[in-house]
Amino acid sequence: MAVCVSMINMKGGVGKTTLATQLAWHATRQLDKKVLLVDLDPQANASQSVMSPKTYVTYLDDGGLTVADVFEQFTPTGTTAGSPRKLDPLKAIYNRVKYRDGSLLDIVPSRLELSFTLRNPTGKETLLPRFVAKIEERYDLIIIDCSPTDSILTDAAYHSSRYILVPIRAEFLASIGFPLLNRSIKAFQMRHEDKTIEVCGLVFNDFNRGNLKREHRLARKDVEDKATQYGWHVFENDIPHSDSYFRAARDGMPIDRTKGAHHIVKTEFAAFAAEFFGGIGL
Amino acid sequence: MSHSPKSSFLEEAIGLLVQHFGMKRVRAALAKVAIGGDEEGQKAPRRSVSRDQRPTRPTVANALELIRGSDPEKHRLLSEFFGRLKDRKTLPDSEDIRHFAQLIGLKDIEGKSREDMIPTLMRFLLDHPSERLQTDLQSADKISEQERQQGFSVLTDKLLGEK
Repeated sequence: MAVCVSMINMKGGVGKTTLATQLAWHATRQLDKKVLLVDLDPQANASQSVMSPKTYVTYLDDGGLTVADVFEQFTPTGTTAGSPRKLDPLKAIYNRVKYRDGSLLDIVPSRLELSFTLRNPTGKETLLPRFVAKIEERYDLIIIDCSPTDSILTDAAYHSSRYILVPIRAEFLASIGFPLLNRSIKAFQMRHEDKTIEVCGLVFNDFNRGNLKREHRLARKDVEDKATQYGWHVFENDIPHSDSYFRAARDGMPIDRTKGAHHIVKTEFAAFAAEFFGGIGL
Repeated sequence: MSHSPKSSFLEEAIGLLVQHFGMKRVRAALAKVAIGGDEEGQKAPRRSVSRDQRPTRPTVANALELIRGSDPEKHRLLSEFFGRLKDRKTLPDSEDIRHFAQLIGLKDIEGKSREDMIPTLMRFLLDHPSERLQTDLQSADKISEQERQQGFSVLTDKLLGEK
């Protein structure tokens, strides 16, 4: 059975998508795992990055199914035309790469129309976990890249996941969004006592290496104090800023194979990945 | 011309293999195991190793020749692709080869220069399933820095419905 982890933070721009795609690549290439990345953000950045923009557009033009179809499969006017019918889960999965040792990286792409689900969300939060249950035996790891909202999509991610990973930037506005995440998770746990879900940790992301100025230090301390209060782990290995992550996203490549990525950037990411995957027993 | 005992043993062993498996399968197996890279990319053998003991590592061209009889279609596709690679008509930069590798399932392609990577790539493709070969080789032509940079306009055109 696959381990399922969601990248969640209500704050946008904290690096959820970058982290989700790079962790997916790392698990596939370095740990030789079978990995499924689920893009649960209507902006579809993870899809565009992993598949490349041209392939992504062609995939949509050819009628390829997306996570929007998972949520709208029983909606008469859904993105799958005609009467509501059961969706073949494998048709919503795009294989990015399969290596000869059996490891692979698949993705369930997203599309802008996923935002329609937010307009009529009733009862749809269980469709994603049901989808995951049908395909999880094919994978070792499922990573869900969530949109920065507390919505039906977040609930669907909670329902599907065993762990939550929280990327966070050490800055004031990011840190005040942090208690909202705690409240959201607590509310979900209270509504679903039978469901085991755990915050496996927080990772500080996207800050200037070796330049911990006052604002950064204050925000970081605030977050660490709150994490201690909530009983949430803070990962020892941070992921400092590097423009190479932008290039990796544009090229659709793992950071360790991205042109111009400095050795220290690759080492820092690998250290975090080792700590993270060790923590979830992968 | 007299044969050394080693040569006689080799011929005898190959004869037995051909008798048991047939020429076609033996040639195909040889093609899979024998390729070590381009001769240009090989270090010079140490002087202390005698000529007879030196491992023979066929060039990519020789390896392609080995599959001519056993798999003529694969030979044609790969020979054509190899020619285009050498002429830089496909995958013109080392970065393009790295991208192609991560598309077709070649996990690690070492080497800094494009020339270092080509033998590894060709060796991988020689062992590639025939049914995937044509599609994968066609995808190589779509890989370029220019293509990667066009991502933004491709997406905006799609979102605005302009194409």
